[in-house]
Amino acid sequence: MTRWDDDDQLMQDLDEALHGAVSDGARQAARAAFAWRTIDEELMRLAHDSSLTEEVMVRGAAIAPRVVGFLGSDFTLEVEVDAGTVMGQVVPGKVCRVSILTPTGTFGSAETDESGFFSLPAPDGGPVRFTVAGESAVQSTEWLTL
Amino acid sequence: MDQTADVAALVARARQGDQQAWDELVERFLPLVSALIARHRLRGHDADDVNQTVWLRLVEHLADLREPRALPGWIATTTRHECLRVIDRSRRTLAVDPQTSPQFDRPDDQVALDEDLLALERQQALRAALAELPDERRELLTLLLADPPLPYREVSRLLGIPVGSIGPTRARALEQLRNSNALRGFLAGAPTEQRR
Repeated sequence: MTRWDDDDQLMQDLDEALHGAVSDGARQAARAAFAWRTIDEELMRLAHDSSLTEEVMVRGAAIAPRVVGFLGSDFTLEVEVDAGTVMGQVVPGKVCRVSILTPTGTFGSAETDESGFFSLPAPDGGPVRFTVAGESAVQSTEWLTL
Repeated sequence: MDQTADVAALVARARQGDQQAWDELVERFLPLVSALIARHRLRGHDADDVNQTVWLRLVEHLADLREPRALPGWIATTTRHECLRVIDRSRRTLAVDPQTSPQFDRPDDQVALDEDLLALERQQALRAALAELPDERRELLTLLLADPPLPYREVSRLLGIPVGSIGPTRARALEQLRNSNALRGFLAGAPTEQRR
């Protein structure tokens, strides 16, 4: 007795198997990612992500903006994505430049106000990373899909 | 050379900027990433986004990867998380619990990885089984899984068989699939309970 005694289940698993085959496009993208290798760069780590909480996985309920937080060396970056716009804040507040990078280059860039607030258009899918350029150094976040 | 030592050597070389070593890591683990994306039923741009993000994350992660044995688990966890992010993209949801970057250190992660590796094996066995079928039967099953679905009339025209014989032929093809060396080998590999 196996899950494949049922014709429809077998067809469904076969469908999954056909889509799970490695494609050339996926291979090219995976190889190309290596060009983004940086040496000894201290990354801002993901501190929290509203997409990866128990509530979302279990309930999948009410509509709310995606909220993501990153931890820098001496500040945090809080980001909220809603309706094609990224609104965020650098905490503690300071004037600096926040940019959104995609694998093809810089997508957008904005200066924060004195409280650290900024607003940028969000790319339509694909992986992104944020960079925060202060007086001394530039810090980047990990890549993630927005 | 054993697998773990092999991966450790590739990681060490990739850290030094060796693209060839990176490409070999891609060959080693891309089947797992692709299998998990398919398991989450992601297609097209969604699938591409997850794949690209996983590899970009691994590039970043190379420097602080201390235990190459943990690499498959890290890749599986990262892929799963990115799949959930993309799924969530289409249905934003309110939530408050913080959750940190994937760490492969909880006991249930091992269970999840075992399931992921089993899904990969299952998909590989199914593809191998399909390859064992005679051409017409393989084509029939492939056409019946077309996305968007093809009407039986169209399948009938493409294969030159009557509409009325599609159902019975599908049943025979699936029976042949069950009896293929690939699927029998897969099912014989472990107790049935674990093959579910």
